[in-house]
Amino acid sequence: MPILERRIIGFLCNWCSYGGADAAGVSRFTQPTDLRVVRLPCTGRMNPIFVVKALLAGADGVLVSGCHPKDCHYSEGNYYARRRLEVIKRFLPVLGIEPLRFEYTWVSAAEAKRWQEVVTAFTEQIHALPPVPRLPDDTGIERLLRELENSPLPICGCHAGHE
Amino acid sequence: MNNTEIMKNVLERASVLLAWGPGHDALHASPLFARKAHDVDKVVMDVRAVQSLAAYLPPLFQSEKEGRIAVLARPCHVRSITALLQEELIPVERLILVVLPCQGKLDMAKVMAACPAAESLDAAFVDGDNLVINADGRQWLLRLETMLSPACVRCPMPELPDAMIPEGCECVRLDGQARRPGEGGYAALDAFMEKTPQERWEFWKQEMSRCIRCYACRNACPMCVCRDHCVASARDPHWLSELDSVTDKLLFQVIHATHLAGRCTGCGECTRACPMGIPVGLLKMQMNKIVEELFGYKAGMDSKATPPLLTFEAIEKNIREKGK
Ligand code: SF4
Ligand code: SF4
Repeated sequence: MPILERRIIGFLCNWCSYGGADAAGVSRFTQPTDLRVVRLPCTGRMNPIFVVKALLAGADGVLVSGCHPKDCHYSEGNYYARRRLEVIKRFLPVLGIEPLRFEYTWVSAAEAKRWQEVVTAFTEQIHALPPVPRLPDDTGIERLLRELENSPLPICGCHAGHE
Repeated sequence: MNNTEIMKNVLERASVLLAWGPGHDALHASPLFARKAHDVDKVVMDVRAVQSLAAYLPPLFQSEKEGRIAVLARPCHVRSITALLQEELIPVERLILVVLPCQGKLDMAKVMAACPAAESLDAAFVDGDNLVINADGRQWLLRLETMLSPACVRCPMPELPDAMIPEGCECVRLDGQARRPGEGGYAALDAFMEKTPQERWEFWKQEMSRCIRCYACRNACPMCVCRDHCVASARDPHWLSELDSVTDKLLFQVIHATHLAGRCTGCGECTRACPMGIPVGLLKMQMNKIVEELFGYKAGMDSKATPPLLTFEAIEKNIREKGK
């Protein structure tokens, strides 16, 4: 069976990992093509809800990458991010979501090679999992209308026999 | 002085005493804002007084008309109030805590299940270890112990230790006997986590399909202080649509849990308030457990402590991140 692409969302810090990913591209390092990148000004901008919103919207995996601790362009953004991201990673299991669907890591602008390894390993990790489970997207009203359509009774007395 | 006299005395120094009074029937108590001495005569503070009054405090303190505000609080409510003080959401010098030794509070769903006739009762009162309900010309004796909320059964702190009185806060204690302490911990969560991930996913899918998006869980939460600025109703950014889809409803619960990370005191108000009986508190319990494991922290224990998600350590003891 051919391996289909999975949907992976990468949130990358503008000052380091985005540059690292760019350098990997410029250096023509082979990389998997599943990742779609969202550029952040800093991992401190990373709201943990981005992770869950992406997973519930059908992303199979989410990868966050920023500057190494001590190297944040704004000096402390990634320290706050580390706490928040660790918390959200540990939170996923209570929802029944596989925590391996989410990773956060640090890649500097000079680490093109390391970026290639990170993105390859994460993509493999996501391919080893089944596609992300989806919730039904229909709303209560859609469900109700469907039930009414299938119901043998007329919806109300006023229209019965007037077809 | 008996308790009524103590409360009347407190009211002389405050513009309002937040308490509980008679509700729509004998089984239910409602929040009561006592402003005159004779209001205090109506106060109900046994197992029927189930609501936390802490959620009223931040908006009430905004009012210029109020002087000092006194509030009746069980020990678990004191934790919520301490958490509000930690974030400077209420002023300690205008607050008077009136703490009652806790006998626990009823789980109304349990009472209704044990006695469906309680929908239209004639009388309900506490007699020793029993809750007595008269309805349909019959009498029910329900053992109190089996009717309490699960959080109360496990509560490790039904009597407030002196060390837990927030620094600089006037605190008045009422007389009475507290129940025996429980062992605390995360038993309900641990039992839930024994399910497989698929079962957990299906559980939330099922439960969230019943959610009517009334936001009672949010409104009852003492720590949900954004009120009209909640992201759940914001159009920009548009986090949630106006549909009642399961995805939106589950995402809202995740938002509530994440916004409570390191702030939730486990008071149980969100679960209690849900009219659909959805145990949304489980998600926050998971959050609390994570925060305790990672940062050795519980919210609302120390009014001077900084919540862990508002700070960091250059080297985190308990976080092993990838790529180091
Ligand atoms: S999230 Fe629930 S348990 Fe936590 S503080 Fe709010 S109401 Fe209480
Ligand atoms: S209180 Fe219950 S029904 Fe209402 S929004 Fe919260 S979970 Fe949904």
